[in-house]
Amino acid sequence: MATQASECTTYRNLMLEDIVGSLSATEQETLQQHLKSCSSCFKQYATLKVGMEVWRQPSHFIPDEEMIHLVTQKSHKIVFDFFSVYTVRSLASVAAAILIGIGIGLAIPKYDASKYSSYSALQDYYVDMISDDIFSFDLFDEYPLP
Amino acid sequence: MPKLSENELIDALQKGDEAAYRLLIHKYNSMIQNVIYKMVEDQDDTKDLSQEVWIRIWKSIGKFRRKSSLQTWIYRISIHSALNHIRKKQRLRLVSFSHSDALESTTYAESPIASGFDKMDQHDQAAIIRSALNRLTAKQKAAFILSNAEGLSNAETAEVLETSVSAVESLLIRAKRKLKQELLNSYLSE
Ligand SMILES: [Zn+2]
Repeated sequence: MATQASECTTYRNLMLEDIVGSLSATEQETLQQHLKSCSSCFKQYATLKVGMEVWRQPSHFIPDEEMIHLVTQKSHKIVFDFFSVYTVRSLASVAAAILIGIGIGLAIPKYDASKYSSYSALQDYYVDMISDDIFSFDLFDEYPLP
Repeated sequence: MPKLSENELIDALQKGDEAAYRLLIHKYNSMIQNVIYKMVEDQDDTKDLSQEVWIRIWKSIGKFRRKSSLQTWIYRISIHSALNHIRKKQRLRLVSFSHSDALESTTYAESPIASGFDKMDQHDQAAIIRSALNRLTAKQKAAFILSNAEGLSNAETAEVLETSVSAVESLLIRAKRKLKQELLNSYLSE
């Protein structure tokens, strides 16, 4: 009886290796052989296996219209805000340029249109403006979970 | 909207096409929410974070240089948002240490681990796995989820986590070792 128990302890170890996905093919074979002959281990193995499968299963999050609406609305708001900010900035720039031009009689410094007029510039602006944490996963290296 | 190749879809998105954006949401929302939910394990947080991810996708799609697949890139943003969320939560927890300590003991007392394997239903069993996963570091957990639940190869996981394949292998080895130990402890407490 004691031999069976200690044998089962060895297989319990293999079961866990299998559940977390680090069992070799040979060990897998050995484990399967034991499971065929030991109902107690089989039961425990099945319990763990089901638990892992339930965890692994994707929940079907279907994007509801409300969510899509909210997200697209927020995105539009960003575009709108962008234009508001840029309209004000552009007007201010023009006014400043005219004043400088009149004052010193020189040409207005070159305006780099490619920097501000493209769609990508619009996005760059927002990527820069909303200060996301930098995209470095190193930050999370050994970060413990809450 | 007609069926688009990935490149056509990206082209449309980079031109600010709203229909393409909606198509993208339909295609990837489930994937985003699943991976975030596995990381943060809270429905409300998952909903908020996935919305954040969508906004983030929209505002940075113009910078997407197609060095990785769209899916890899979306996984990266999702995992990054989840990790940020966990980090913020952890900071908050450090601030209110005594309060969260009490919370932790409550959670532990209610953990299905204490109730014995035989009496558990499927959700209890999954809760054991989740509880064990929460003993990993955030990055180990992310690697384990991408590899084990999302079915990504080590190379793909490395691309998402912006690291080397060998680093992912090492993360997974440590994650599995720890996970196994935690599950073993659950057995012993049975
Ligand atoms: Zn046995």
